[in-house]
Amino acid sequence: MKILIVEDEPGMLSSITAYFAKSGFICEIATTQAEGEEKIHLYDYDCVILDITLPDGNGLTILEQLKKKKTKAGIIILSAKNSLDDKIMGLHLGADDYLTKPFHMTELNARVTAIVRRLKFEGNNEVILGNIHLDLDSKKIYIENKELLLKKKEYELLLFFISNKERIVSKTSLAEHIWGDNIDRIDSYDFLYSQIKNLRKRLNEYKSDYNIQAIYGMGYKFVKE
Amino acid sequence: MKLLQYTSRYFLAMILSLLVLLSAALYVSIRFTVYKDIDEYLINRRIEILNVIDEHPDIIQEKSMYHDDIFIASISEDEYKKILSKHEDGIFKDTRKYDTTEQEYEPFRKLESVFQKNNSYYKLTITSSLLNPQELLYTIFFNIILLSALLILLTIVLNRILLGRIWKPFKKNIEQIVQYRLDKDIKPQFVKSNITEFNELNESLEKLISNNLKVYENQKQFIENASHEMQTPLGVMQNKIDLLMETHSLSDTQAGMVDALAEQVNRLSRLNTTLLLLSKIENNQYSKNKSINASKLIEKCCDDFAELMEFKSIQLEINKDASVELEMHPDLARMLFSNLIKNAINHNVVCGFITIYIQHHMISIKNSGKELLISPELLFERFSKKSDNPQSTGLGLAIVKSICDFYNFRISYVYKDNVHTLTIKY
Repeated sequence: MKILIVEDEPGMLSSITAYFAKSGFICEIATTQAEGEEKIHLYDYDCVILDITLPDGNGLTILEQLKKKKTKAGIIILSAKNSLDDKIMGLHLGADDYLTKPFHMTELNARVTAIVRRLKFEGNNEVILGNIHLDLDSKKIYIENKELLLKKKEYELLLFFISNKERIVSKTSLAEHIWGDNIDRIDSYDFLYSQIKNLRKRLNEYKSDYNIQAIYGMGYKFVKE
Repeated sequence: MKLLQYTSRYFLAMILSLLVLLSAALYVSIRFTVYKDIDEYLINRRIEILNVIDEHPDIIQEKSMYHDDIFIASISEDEYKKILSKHEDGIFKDTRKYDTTEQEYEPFRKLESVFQKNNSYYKLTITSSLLNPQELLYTIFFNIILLSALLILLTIVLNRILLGRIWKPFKKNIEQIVQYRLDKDIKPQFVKSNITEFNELNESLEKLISNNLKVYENQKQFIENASHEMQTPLGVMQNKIDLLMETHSLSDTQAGMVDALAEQVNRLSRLNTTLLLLSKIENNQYSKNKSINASKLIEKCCDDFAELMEFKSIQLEINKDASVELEMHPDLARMLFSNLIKNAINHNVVCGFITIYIQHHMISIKNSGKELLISPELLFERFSKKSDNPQSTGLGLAIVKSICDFYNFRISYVYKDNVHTLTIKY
């Protein structure tokens, strides 16, 4: 899996690279628009992570060129401006997703995973992890061919865990993922804890290969049991 | 006191006292002239009479020859000397005489003098009517009073009309300034006046307003820019913390610290995003309106929080009395209602209720809950929330207020019998 990261902020660039390298991705980097354009003309990528504001131009220009090239790469736009216009423009130009800075690595990972999955299994929208089968279109879950009925938020949690399997998922990133861009988050983590507790119990009941493991002080990990 | 009243008062007092003084002076001077004139006449008449008596001394006895303004009486030598020693030229006196034709007393001036003829002593009294000069005096006095009254009346009327007209643009401008709000986009249009001072004032005000507006815009822009600039470093921090968590060598204490860091960075970035949003609303960056169906949107928001309500065992009831279409930016509309509903859940009690009323001109959200720690007036202020919940930014209702202000909705809050009610009127 090969991804291109176009980002001018060194701190962010190194974090993203380190994170995806750990997942076994081959990461290429570009810090300017010119460099980004050069790279997309020379190589093909599975996924391109594009920062909009670049020192010598706009990430959207690279996006246009990628689309002109009829690339098959999934494209995620990163922006510090939480601007609707940028979002609409980006998605209109053919980006697959849009993420506002600051974001959690687990969130970016989940989005990249989703895009790559969509591109890889064209049409067959299904996730398989161990004995867990997830049908993304019908939102149905099967464990060892037995259907597991989950509530909406529990389903979202499970998918998020699967996308971030074997990685630490902090509780803040879980809350962020569940509540999205709601300004003030819901009171405490009580609700989240109860959801996770419930999900873990259900996965146990169904004898899932993978389950949620609490990591002291930091969050959770979806691991093979 | 109005300037008009203030000046008029002094003006009138001045005119009135001046007129009184002037009338008095005029009266005294005319009276003086009249008396002087009559006294001179009496003196001349006396000389004339004495001359006649010198030529025909026997005329003294001929009473029939007298005019009715002359009276001669013989007196003793002592009396003669007494009067002569005191008044050589005679005494002038004011007197009254009964007029038989007019049947009333009329004012007269008389001159009493003495003379000696053929060793006899006589007293000569000459009178002259004061009626004509006094009437003149009265006429003049009456005219002065009338003139004064007219003058005063005219001054008042002129003041009212003229000053009223002069101040009219000024009053209009004051009205505009009172209505002017720095955060609204409508600039006051000052009415031009013929008075230089007023125009100068208008120009200064216009300058003041445009300067303030510039500073205000800069300030708003600054907040937005600052929030933007903070997004990237915050992002870097958050990502580094995510990476740090993945390090396997962390001890439990270290892991706890990393978690606390993650929590605070997350809070900071949410605060920042919120501030950015607030300044964007204030900077009018949400201008593309769409027709939003309030009921549908509210139902969707409630649906998003359905599991949370279930978790807290909250009963939800939506009463739709009207189909409401709001002209709003879709993002702001969603933020408005999701914040309100989230708020109703957050400040609810276990097994409480939320009731939403959607009516023609208002939407109200009632929820059970404990009384607030802060006063209701501060509820919509930024950072005023004294919440023990570290997750809360204290900006949720500030955003609601900002959005309501942006669309000129009125929002109000009431707490009664353990029920919080937030009402939006549009």
